Amino acid sequence: MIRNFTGVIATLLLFLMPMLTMGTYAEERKRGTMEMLMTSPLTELQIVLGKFLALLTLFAMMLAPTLIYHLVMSRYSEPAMPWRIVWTGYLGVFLLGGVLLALGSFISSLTESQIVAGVVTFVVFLLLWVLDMSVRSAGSTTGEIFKYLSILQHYDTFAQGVIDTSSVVFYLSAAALGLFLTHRTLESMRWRRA
Amino acid sequence: MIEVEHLTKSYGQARAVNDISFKVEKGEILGFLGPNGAGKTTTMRILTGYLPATGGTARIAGFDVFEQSMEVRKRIGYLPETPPLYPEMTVESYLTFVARIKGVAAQNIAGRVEESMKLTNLNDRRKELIKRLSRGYKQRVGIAQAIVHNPDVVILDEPTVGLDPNQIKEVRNLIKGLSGEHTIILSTHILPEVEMTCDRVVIINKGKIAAIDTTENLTSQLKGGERVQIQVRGNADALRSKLESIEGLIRIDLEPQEGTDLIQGSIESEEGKDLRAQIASGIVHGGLDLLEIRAVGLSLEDIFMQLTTEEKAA
Repeated sequence: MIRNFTGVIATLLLFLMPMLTMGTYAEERKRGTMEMLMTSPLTELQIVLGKFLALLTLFAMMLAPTLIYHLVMSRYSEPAMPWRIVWTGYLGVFLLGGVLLALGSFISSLTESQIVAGVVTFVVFLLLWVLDMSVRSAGSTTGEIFKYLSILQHYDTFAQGVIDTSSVVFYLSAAALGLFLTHRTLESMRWRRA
Repeated sequence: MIEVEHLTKSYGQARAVNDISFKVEKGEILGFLGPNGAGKTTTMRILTGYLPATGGTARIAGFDVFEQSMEVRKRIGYLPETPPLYPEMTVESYLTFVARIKGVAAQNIAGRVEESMKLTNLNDRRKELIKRLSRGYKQRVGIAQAIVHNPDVVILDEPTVGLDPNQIKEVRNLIKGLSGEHTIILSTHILPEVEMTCDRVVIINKGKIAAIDTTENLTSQLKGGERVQIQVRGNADALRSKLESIEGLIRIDLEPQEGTDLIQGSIESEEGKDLRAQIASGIVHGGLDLLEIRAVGLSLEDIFMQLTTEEKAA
């Protein structure tokens, strides 16, 4: 049942995350507030991390009410609620969300239109999901590689109540990659703005 | 306070700013005047550290805008052409946010926000969402944002554009009130604005400085001669020959008014010569009716036109 829940959340993220991230940088650029941020005594890293933490906080706040569901279930569940699995599930959701937020805000930093950012982000996420489905049953070596690279594969272990270090590392590095790329776009904006 | 030397900015082949140099002293208001696309915004963006220059240097308070960008950014307040506002925030929370990212010490934030709202007359709108404010109020929030951290240098890009005459007046007074304590650079393509608010003017055209001087000097120095407006009833050719016999006139423009025998004329004489008496007696003795004669000084507008069109001819 908990696996079901985390599975549903993952599908929801596909639709929800592009909406959260699409405006992050695109809207700032369009409004001209990016010009203010860039001329403030802030480093690009501060801007990138600040925005990412804000997105994570918002995401955590959206996730929090789903706890009620588990609390209600735990009252009636027989045998007792496996809370450990619930928490690892949440950890997985949070890590996956972090990766998607980092990627989404990177895409948002590339354009001035949040609609474009939203659509492109959605398409990219959709591809990730499709890729995941197509490698689920793969057996060959290349299949294994793609399997490792599929972000949803790593999600499953959390839903089973296992904290797999390699998955944690995978998620953290994927999020870091997204943030790094965003940082590079902001830096390059300083150079080739027309 | 601000030193700009041989600043150049190219976009590909096009030179938006071409080898400009000027200085601004502490407490001065410098007007940046030029037609649209002259390079005003580009220069300001370089000064704020938003754009890198292709060549030359710019220093603010002794710090290089490129090498020591952080130090510069702490010391400048900048209002871009469109005020950088978050429409869904209230005036007060927005200014508090700006104060924080501009590095105002935590214990001073409330005081600085209060002060900037007082200076820009925003006190009664502090709890209002920015998106509900009128254009004029938004502009004031933009200015408040530029001064909230009490910067040494305030850079305002076309601060009065899109405002109604009353609001323009308010904003100009506000800017004048800020000088002394702050060094101000403002850009505009509206000439009377410069005449009214600025101590010195840089006229910029096609990325180059066409003139730089105090507002008064520029008006008197470039005036060249005196100009006289006349209205005469009679024959245009007769009038022209009469005027041409007067020594010291450098330009005679006559415009016969269609359907009447009236002629509008504009006459310029050499510098320092007041030839109104000669002109008047010349016309009257020539048997023409002199209806009006009036001396007019060249406005900054004429100078501006002269300078920017001369550039084209060269």
